[in-house]
Formats: sequence, C-alpha cells, structure tokens
Amino acid sequence: MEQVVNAIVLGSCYCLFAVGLSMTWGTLNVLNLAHGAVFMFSAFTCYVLTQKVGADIPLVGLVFIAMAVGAVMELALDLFAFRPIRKRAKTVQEAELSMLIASIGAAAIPVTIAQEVTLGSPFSITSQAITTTEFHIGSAYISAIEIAIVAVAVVLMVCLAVWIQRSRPGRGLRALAVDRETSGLMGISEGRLSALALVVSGITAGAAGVFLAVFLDSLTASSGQDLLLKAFAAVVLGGVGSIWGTMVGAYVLAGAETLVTATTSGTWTNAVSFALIIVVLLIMPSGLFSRRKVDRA
Amino acid sequence: MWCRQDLWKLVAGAGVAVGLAAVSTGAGIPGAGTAGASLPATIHLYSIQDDTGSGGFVGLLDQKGIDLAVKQINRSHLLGQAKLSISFADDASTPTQAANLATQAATAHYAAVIGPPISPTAVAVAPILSRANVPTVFTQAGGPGTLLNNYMFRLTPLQTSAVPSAYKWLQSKHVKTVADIYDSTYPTLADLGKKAQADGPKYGFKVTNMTAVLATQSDISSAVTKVLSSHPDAIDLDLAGTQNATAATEIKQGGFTGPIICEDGCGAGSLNGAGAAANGIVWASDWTAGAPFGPVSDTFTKQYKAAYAATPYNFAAEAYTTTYFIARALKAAGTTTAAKVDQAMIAEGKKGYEGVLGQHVTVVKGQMEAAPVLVQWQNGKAVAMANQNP
Repeated sequence: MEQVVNAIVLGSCYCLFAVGLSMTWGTLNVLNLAHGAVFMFSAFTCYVLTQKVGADIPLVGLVFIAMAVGAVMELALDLFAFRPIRKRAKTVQEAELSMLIASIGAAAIPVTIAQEVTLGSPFSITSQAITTTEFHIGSAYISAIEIAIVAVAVVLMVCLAVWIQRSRPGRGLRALAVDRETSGLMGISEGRLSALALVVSGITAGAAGVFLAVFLDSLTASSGQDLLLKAFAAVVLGGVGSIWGTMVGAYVLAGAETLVTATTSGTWTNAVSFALIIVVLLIMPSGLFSRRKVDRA
Repeated sequence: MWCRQDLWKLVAGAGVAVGLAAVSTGAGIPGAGTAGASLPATIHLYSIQDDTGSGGFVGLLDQKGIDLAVKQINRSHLLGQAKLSISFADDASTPTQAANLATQAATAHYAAVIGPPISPTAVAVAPILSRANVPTVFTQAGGPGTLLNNYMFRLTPLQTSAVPSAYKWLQSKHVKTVADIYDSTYPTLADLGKKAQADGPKYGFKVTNMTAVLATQSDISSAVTKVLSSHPDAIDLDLAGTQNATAATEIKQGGFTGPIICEDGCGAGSLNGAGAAANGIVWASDWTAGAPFGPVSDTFTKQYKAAYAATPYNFAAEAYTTTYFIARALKAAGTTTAAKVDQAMIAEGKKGYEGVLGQHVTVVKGQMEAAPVLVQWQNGKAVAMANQNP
C-alpha cells in the first residue's frame, strides 16, 4: 500500500515538473532544456529568502514567489534568446535546433549562480511558517506536503488541459503548433503566445521547485538537470504535446520505477523504466496518447 | 647599407639571445624560475576539481581548503623564498573532461597535481598522470583504480577502514539486523554497502536488506519503504548528498526509531535539510570540527572560520592537509623534479606527521591511515560523540 502511495506521489512530482516542458514542446516546438534550471532557481530563490534573509514566509507565499521567479526567468529566455533566434533563423528546423542549444547555454547561468552561493552544498527551504504533518491510512503513511503535491499536480494538469482546449490563447497555441504561417495570417501573434506559453511553463516549474524542495528536504544546483531526463521520458511516453499524455506518462514512469525498486535491488530502476518506454514506443511510436501529426496540441 | 645576409644574422642572433634568456629564466615553464640553487621562485601546483556537476559540493570545499593552505604556506615562508601558486580546473564531474585536463597537466610539468575528489573522475585521470610520473594526490576519491603506482597518493583515509567504528556502535546497541540503502552510482558508497554485508557478522548483525538507488534519483521513497518493510533493528545509509536528508525524513515518517548510521558525507551539510528528523544519526568520520584531533586541527578550524565565516567540513580539512603534505615534501626534496618530490612524499608519509586529521598520521603505499572519530547529528550540528569506544 505504501509503495502505491509512493508511486502516486512520485508520478505527481514528475507531472508538476514535466507539464511545462510538454506544453512548450508541443505547442511551440521548443524543447526547453533550461526548464530544469528554472525549477531549481525558483526553489533556490525561496531558500535565499528563508535561510539567508531569514524571512518567515508560509508555504503558500513561497509558492507564489517561486511561480513569479519561474515566470520571469522563462520570459527573459524568450525575450533575449528564443525570439531573436526565431527572427534570424532561415528555417523552422534551424530555429528549433538553435533554441535547443540556446536553452542548454541559458541553463548554465542560474546553475552556476546557485553553485557559487551554496558552494555546491544541498540547500533546503525551512521556515517556522512551514509545518508538515503525517496521516496514517492503515499501514501506509502520507504527509501533508505529499497530499499537496498530488492535489496541485492533478488540479494544474486539469486546468492546463482545459485552458489549452477551450481558451482563446490555448486555441491560438494549438493553431501555431499546426501551421505557424497560416496562424500568422489569421492574426495570431506568435511572439505574444510564445511568451505566454513560456510564462505558464515557468509558473509550473516554480511551483514544482518549491514543492519538491520541501518534500525532498533539499535540492542541489544540479537537481533540475537530473529531473529533466525523467520529464523528457514522461513526455515522450505520453505523447509530445498532450497534457493528458504527459500526466499518464509521468504516472506510468513513476509506477515502473517504484515497482522495480520494490522488487529488485534497485540498480535496475532506470534501465527497466526506460526499456519500458522503448517497448511502448515500438508499439505506439507517437506515445500512449498519440494524435494525428496535424494536431499536436 | 644592410644586406639581406646581415639582417638574417641579426635576427638569428636575437633569437639565440631570447632563447638563452628564456631557458635561463624558465619563462612559461611551470615550476621554473630561480630563487637560489634549488626551489624555483614560484612552484606551480595544479588541481583538477569537480566544481560543477555531481561532485561540485566536494570540489568547491576542497578548493577552499587548498586556497587557505597555499596562503598560509606562502605567508609563513615554509618554502623559504619560493612561493606556491595553484591553478584550478573544473572537470564538471565528467570523466572525459577530467581526462582531458589530466593530459594537459601531464605535459605541463607541474610540481604536483591534486584531485579530482570523486572516484569516477579520479579513475579517469590516474592512468594518465601515473604514466607521466606526475606526483598526484587524491583527496576523497575512495574507489579502486587510483593508486596505480608510487606517484599516486590518497590523503583521505578510506571510509571502509573508518566505518567499523560505526559498526561497533551498532554492536553496543545490540543490533541483530540491518537494512542498507546505498547509492550504486559511486564506487565508494557501493563498497560501503558491501562491507556492511561482509563484516556485519563480526559485529553481531546481519544485513537482511540491501536496496540500491541511483545518484539521479531525488525521490527515494520506494527504497525507504522497501527497507522499512523488512523491519530491521538498524538502518545503514550509504547515500550521496541530498538523498541523506530525504532518507532521514522518510525513515522518521515511517515510524522507525532504531539506530541509524550513515557514511562520512553526512557530515558535510547533507543532513541540514532533514532538521530534527536526522537527530541521532551516527557516522565514522576522518575529521569533524570540534573533535579532539589536536592543536593543528583546532588552529585550522579557527583560521578557516576567520577566512570564510563558516565552519569547515572534512572535505576542506582533507584538501588543506594534502596541500601541506605536498609543501613539506617539496621542502624536503629541495627541488621540483618529479622523482625527488615523489620520494620525499613517500618518506614524509612513512615517517608520519602531525596534521589536521590527527596527531600522528601515516601514508602507507600511497594511502593515508588515520584514526576515525564517531560523530552524531544533534540539533542541526555534527558533534563528536563523548564515548568514542562504544
């Protein structure tokens, strides 16, 4: 029973982290590898406020601060890197590759800042205002922060999926994903929507950063980069561009990892988990929630 | 009027003059320049550190220890008129990058090389530097494949030689069964897990559950749950970095109240995030601030705090010790010639010396040997236990 709880919580962690990546990749064709650095730096900012400055901020406040930091970072990335690249690139493929490389370079800056300040030590967000309690359900236990992670992940995924499907900007993003040129002719502003998508991605990364920092007790400057591979796997497994697919992919990946850890020595966790992804992709190359190529969002 | 032949003679003559000057002053050659008959004016050391990547936590602390030692050695004129100069390079915890840096170091004729601190990168540089017979001192890298010849040294006691103190503590608690969670990415931690399994019976316990996690796993709940479900008397954590705090909290949440031991890395701030959940965790360390290692250790702690406004961790102490070891060997050798420096290091280690890590520390076949100290996490601090012989 406890392992089921662990798998659900782990899957929710992956969801929170991966959803932003999935959205930008699926709608803008941008594989933003700075996403991990944004996640980490949002948590790092909260660490600086609570540990270095000594501010006593409740968890809700920290979440909003982290979301704001994440949003600003992603917006800056769009304004100073992605937008100029899109203007200068001759083809869409060239732009996508250049943005991918630019995101790798951009990730180094916040990671280095955090590394310098923390001297590479793990950092944590602790504050008198953050308390966590545990609940026992039979033989299983779950803490308040774990419940919060699951709840926030589910609510966020549902809200994002509905937003993409039903809202005007959401429909605009889906149109951009299908045909950029025609969308432009229809009056859809690529620049504005690109910025909006990245801001939303940054908000989710920020929230994920704080929740995971509190749940795991500490992060390091490289924690975001470690999670990127898992997020990438969850997105590919679920189907690029599908929010629901990312959610399912995250929980399937988490379930596989938990099962392997619980039944083997644990060394095989990554190998078996990623082998599972290969098997799924061999059967369904576009992922579990594959759609026709014309409609990725 | 100058003819072409005259001009060429002039150029050739100037070239010879410049060449002679360069040779005589040793321009551009590390460790060269004259300050008398033996040691050069500036002795160049090189350090390959893991500043970024998974080993960054250790590498940056090593750098602080080395920097402090270099400043003090120069200020105290330990090497007479000669000054130590250290260059740092970051291998980003990547073996290929470490190998690249080692290749550069091997041909640059540094007096000695320090690092890298983690086993995967240390193992990458050892063959290159050992083939080039460059005196090399590793600090924390405890995995096999580093001490390849007598030019290689490791000035951190192996955790596998220190950890029996923690096993004795478990024995004093009448522990019969132990569950072990270890990070299989790092050879040192995997070795500690295996050692617990092999040596447990000598201390009255059996390892009934061994669960591996990977360095890339942040959430290790499933491993903790698996370990707790075997209902051990005690738990042994051989984890890296943030995993220690995560494990401590989840073990506490799971209701476990038995003894917990961990590896030496716990002392370097890894348990900070767990707060009170980590209270009572014990480990065997080669050094911790405040433990009775002698006056040199106390002085180092004071000077480190004055320099960096922070309490030193063992990584910095080990790197500081390493730098002084090299400096004393250079002084004894009286030259930067690799073979002589190496012989001086061997002699220094055999004789034993008083340093930060103890009042009599020896180096046997390149490996430092020093008595460990039992440390316990108490209310946010690593404290030397009152009873060191449980």
